[in-house]
Amino acid sequence: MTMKELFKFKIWFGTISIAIFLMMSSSIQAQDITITGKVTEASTNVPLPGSSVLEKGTTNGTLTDAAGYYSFKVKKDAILVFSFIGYITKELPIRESKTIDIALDPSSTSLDEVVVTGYGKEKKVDLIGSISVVNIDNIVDVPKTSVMETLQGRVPGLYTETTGQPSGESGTVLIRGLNTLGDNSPLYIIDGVPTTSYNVSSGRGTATGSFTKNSNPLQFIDPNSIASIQVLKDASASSIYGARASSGVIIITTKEGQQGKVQVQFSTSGTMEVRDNNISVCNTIQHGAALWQACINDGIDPISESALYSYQYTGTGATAKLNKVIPVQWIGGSSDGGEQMQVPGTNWQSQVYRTGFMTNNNLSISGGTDRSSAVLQIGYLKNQGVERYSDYDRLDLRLNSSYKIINNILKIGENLNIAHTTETPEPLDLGGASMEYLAYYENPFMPIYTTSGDWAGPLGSGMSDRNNPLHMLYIHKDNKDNNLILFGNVYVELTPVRNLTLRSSFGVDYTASNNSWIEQTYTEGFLHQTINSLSEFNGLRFNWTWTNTANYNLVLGKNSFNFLVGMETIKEDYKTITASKQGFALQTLNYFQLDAGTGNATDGGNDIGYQLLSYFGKINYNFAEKYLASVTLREDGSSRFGTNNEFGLFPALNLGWRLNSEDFLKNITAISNLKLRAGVGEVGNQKIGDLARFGLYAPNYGTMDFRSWYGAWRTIGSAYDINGANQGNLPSGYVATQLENENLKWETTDEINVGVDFGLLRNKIFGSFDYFSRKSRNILIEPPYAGVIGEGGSQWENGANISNKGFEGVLGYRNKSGDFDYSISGTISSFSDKVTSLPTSVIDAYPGNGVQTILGHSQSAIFGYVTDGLFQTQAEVDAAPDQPGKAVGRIRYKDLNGDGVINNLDQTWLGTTLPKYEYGISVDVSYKSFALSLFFNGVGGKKIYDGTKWDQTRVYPSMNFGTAVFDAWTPTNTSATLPALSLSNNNNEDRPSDYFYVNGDYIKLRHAQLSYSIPSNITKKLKLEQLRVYVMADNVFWIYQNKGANKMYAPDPEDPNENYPLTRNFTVGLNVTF
Amino acid sequence: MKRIFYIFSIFIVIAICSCKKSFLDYTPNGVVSSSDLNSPAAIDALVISAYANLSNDFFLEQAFAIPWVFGSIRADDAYKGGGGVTDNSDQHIMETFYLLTPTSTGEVNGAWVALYENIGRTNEALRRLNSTTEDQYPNKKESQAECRFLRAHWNFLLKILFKHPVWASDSIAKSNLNTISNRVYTSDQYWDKIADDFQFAIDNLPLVQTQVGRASKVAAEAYLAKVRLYQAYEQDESNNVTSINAAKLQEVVNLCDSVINSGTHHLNSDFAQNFLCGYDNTPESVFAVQFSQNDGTLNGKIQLDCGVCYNMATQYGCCDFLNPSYSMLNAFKTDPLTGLPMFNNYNDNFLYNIDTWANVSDSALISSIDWKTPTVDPRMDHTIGIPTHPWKYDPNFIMTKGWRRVPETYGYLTSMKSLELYSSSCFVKLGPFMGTSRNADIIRYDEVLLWKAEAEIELGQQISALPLINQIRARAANSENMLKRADNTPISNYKINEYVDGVNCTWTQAFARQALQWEDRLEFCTEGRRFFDLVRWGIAAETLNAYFAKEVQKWPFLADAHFTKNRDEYLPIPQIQINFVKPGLYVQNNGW
Repeated sequence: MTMKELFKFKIWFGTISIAIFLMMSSSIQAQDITITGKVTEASTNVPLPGSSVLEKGTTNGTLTDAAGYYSFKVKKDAILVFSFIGYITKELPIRESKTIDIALDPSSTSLDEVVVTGYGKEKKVDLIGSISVVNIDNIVDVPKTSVMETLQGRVPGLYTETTGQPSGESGTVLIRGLNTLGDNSPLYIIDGVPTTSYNVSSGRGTATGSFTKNSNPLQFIDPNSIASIQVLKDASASSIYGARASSGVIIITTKEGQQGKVQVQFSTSGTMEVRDNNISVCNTIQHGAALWQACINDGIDPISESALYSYQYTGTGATAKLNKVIPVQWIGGSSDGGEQMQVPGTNWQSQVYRTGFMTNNNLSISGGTDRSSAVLQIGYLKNQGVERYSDYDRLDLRLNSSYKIINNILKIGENLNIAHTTETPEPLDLGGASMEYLAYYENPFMPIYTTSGDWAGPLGSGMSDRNNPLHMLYIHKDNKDNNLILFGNVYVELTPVRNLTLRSSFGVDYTASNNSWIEQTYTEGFLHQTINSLSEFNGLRFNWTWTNTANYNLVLGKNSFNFLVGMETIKEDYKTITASKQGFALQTLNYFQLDAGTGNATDGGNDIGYQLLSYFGKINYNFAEKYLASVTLREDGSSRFGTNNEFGLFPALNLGWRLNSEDFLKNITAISNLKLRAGVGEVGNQKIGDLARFGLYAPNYGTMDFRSWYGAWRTIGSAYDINGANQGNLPSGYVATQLENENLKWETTDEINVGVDFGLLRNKIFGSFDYFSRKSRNILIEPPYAGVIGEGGSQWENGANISNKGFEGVLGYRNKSGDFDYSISGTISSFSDKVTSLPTSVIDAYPGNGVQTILGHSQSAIFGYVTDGLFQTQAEVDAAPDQPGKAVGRIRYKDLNGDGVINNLDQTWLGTTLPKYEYGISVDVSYKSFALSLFFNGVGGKKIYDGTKWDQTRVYPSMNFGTAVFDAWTPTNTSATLPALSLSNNNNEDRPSDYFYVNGDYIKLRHAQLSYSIPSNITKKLKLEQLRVYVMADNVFWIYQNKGANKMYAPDPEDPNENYPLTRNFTVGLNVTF
Repeated sequence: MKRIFYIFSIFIVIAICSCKKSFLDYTPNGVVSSSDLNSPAAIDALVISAYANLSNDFFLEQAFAIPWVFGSIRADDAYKGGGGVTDNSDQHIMETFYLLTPTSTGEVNGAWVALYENIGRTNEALRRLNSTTEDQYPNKKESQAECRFLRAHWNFLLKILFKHPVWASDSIAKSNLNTISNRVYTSDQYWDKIADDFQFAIDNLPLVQTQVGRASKVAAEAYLAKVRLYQAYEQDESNNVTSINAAKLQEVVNLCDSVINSGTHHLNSDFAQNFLCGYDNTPESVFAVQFSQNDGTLNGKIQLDCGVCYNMATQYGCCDFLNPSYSMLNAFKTDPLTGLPMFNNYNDNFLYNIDTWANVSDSALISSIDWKTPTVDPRMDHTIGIPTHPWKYDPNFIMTKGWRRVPETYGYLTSMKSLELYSSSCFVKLGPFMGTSRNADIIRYDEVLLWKAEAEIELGQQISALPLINQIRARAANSENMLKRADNTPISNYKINEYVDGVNCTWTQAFARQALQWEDRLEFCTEGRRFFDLVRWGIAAETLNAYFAKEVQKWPFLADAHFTKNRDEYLPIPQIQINFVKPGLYVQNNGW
């Protein structure tokens, strides 16, 4: 942390501390009385020894004795809170009495919770699908931009990976693993309005090639405004969302105003983000020494070949000994125009990175009467990420309100979220290298500034074409991606007769993106940007959903029914406009407006969309609270499919049996809850391009080839200078872009789910277990095709099948002993997918070698060579199978098929990049007003591509590398696992092999939080309802295998590939309620 | 209350009914369907679109304007260069041969795919042309001829790269093309298919075109000469040259004569004019890719094929690919007495002792290297950038060792021909890459002369070849004007003479053949021709393995390089393409 950053943190922390101190110092003690009484069980009148009796809002309390009696001193106007594990907590004001006896009712604890399922609510006790309910209290304080990041490891069956980006951009989000070959991201339902994650172009993309960011809808929602999160995992639960539910559904409900007095809540937190991803890279002298060693190994005279160093050394080959590395004084020749050689060297990591700092403030005002309720929330989050200038902020406003009119027959309400986000996208250098890559591998001998104070850059021999990363960050810091998001719905609910509810909801999901990117002219070393430009991107994403439902409850004796019918129409539209101009006379931020440019201008734009039309129905049946059943049917039509197959039908059936309601179990008190569940269902997928079914041609005047990284340069357009004019507008034509397929139809996933929920010893022990098996068929793919077909030969088809099996389990224990309340719970989940069929023509587009194919293996399977140590002697080399490039000190590959030659056929399956299982352990302990929670999360059976290993351990002469190069094999260091240093790669060692794919298992302490609620006797004096402070550490430590051949060069197993760093965070926060 | 109920119910009923299937109708925006493209204007546009792929040019998959990746670094012309062996490692694999397999590089597959995309555009236009009449579209024949010319051009590249490509015909529906074998035609028949297209072009195109970018009859004759020349060297399935077909050679002679006698083309006065901005579509250019800038496309349709070949001089900065080899430098030596190439001992020692430069500073190079004694062909300084020499004809733009990116791997030489001087109006800098709006010649008149000479020699009429080769050498000798240092002295000691039978040589067929092969090598160095010449002549294996043996003394990156005879003459059919079609449909090339 630099002084400036420390200062920033101190100011924030100081302000908060003083505020707390002022509130605390005004508190005064009150008068007490003694109160006594007895606590019993309501149905049996048996005393409940060890029950907790607490003065509300304080830590003042006691426990009942063996006969159920208690006695302690409280304030005159106190409210007593009686609780016992497994019973419903009761509160009573003492008023005038000095004796209070109370009977507690057994509770099924959280089982009475109401859970939002599809288009309705159900009691948790009645749920028969596989649905996880997220405990919001556990996650609300976690300092992340997006709730999605916080959910990592929390929900069994929900697998997420984080990107570390300040914007909270999600990596992978999978519910029950991989269920299709394309986009596996789930459907989100926010206050009843469906939405999905989507790609939005960044301003950078318009200037430097395709660059899109995956926007997750949860990035734009303030975690403080969320009331509940439900994850619908199995097809029988999610089939009510049929059309788009094949990858699971996440349902978010935001807070509504509660009846009672107006409540004002303020929460604030400050988070320090510390990077822990330092890679030990060479300094200037070490860089020279490694180059020397590589030259010696290759048999080149090292003195003669380096432009940057001279050496003092003796001997040759194995006996060579380096005495001194003498760096040149000037890079680029001489002091005239050259740059000063840096010794010991520039630390680029400390230039590119800083200590990040995030503040999150939220103010909420809520209230309501029996006729109306409203919540107003304003939140502001600012996240200055660990990469310099990578700032993100989000301002959001939420207004949820509802009104009951005409004798409560009609309810009208709305939910509205307005969010504005601003982000500084990461620049790339001229050649497309990332800042993270340059932070590690920019040359150490290069200075940051020239002697005249300009930006230094690569110059002369021995350097790469890579920019000074600090310079790139600095000149691009004013480029912003802006998003304005409006998300919400308006609804009317009519209850014309008892038990019948008609509801109509109109929801809007609107994003206006305005992103701009300025490229300035500059000279940096030998690199130039000779033309300045401004690129603007505007995107309007406007989706609406109109949902109409009718809900009817019917009770006939012990039979109770719930009927739901509904229809839904959805329209999505995405319109983009891009424009760019070159040639700006001034390079001030204000001057960069399209009108001010005088050079080449280009523009573009498009408009795509689709519509969905759906009908659905559901019947829930419950007999005597024992037997549960539900039937769902949904029909979806999508404009993405041809008229032959527009509609798909998605049914589901669920059965449940609450054994603990049966007479034969009723008397076994140890079993408080036992429910068996089984379900079958079908869900669909239509995640293909909006125009996937059409045969199309396009007038691509100068379209860039965005199929690969070089899209910023290569055109595949149809314009040609047929007149040899060398400039001016060119004649142009059309190109084929896609073949049509009018028979395209829905992809379908069938699933069987069986599960059990249980609670033992008054639910002190609780848990559930689910097993699922799913098969997806007619998977929508756009397979690569034979080159001979030519341009525009791509065609979507329903081609592949995959299967997926797995389980999820939860087991927990909670108890209370006096003021000491604790719980420990663990989750585990596992999935394993298999590709079961593919069109033969596309099998080899997946890993495999023609003999072995992806069939029977996971989509995330890795295929490659198996290494067998290093060659130690020439005799070993000679005796080994024919391996092009083999030599002493080089990697030996296994001849798996024993044919005496190492080739393509000697590859095998090395594991999967997704874990076989994931687990989480939460420990929550509270004592009086203190609460401590720890959350551990780990994965197993995962291989990672240790991407930094290649860059760290080879000598790439014009870039830097890790100090690990000194662990490489030499004739005297024969126990090394890294091959000898070389300037060549004659043995082709960057081939995919277990040399790079290492064990990626880890266990992490993801969060540790300690919080303290200020006692109510103090808060009362402050006219506060509640005051709570906490400290939290996030991504605290991790344990992973890091030895021998399995040594991982990446510092964090979650962050192996020189991506935006994952950080360790420290948070101080405060919640106050007025 | 009831009223509200009814209103609401009606509301829902209307909602459901109004959202019938028509709600799902969707018409895509901003695209056209196939049936919209049958008008004459649309067909014209499709022909332009087919031409456009000539200038949709980049240094990876679509590197065909100047095919240095396939023709120069795979030969003894040049090293790959760049930041090290792993920089564009696919090209390293192609350069060293020993690691190449049908699956090992994406770039081989990329070339296959790109060439068929190019052919696809010609077929898109041809299918519509075939179904129209001359009444509807008076230009029908001529447009067909242009499309077939372009198709033949792409097929020629496919043929010399892959030996047995698939003939993608316009008479087969696009979606059925993946049912066609790569052995429908024998190698010889495939040449004839290409020849048919060029013959159709000859029969239907005007002698010259007013729109210079369009293919002309002369261009088609020249290209057909090239096809027949390649076809004349008959190969067996193992790529051995088994015989040379005299009838085909005679056809080459006739076609070249037709070009020569057409009066439309002649050599430029100075060799440099072929490599300078401002000399597009000169009489020496027979068919060229028309590049342009400030044309409304994002970066301009510029030549980016050599976009990575610029050096590390401050005015450029990247990426230093395509470095002429030390053997190639030596090849420009001339005999101090005769001024002829040193066929046998040119590679005995390194010109200017370049192998010892590593320890020498730029200033010491100037003072200590003997530039004056060794005699060289002037084309050396048109072709190779050498430290202390002016670069690209600018006497004040002196190359230094510091312009080299990784000299410890790839030495001290840079290429120049396809590159542009930084101050040129054709030069375009695009971030790290650079391009030029200068045209790239697909066929030049000097080539036509040498094709004719080659055919004459192999026909045993080497005496007819002598003046042709000498014409090339005479022009080279007269191309010293721009090769000056700042003090107006010649950059190097140039000595080049014509062959004079009985005076400085004995012009036998064997000698003439050697002279012709050397002339080709010197005239077209780094232009992506050499590898294909070696394969045509049937001497690729011996030439390249001897080259590796020489160069490996200096460069470890070539330690394992080896050309496998009867295999490496052609690239493998990419395995992924074999897998895309029915098993057995594509037959792999020999040795792969």
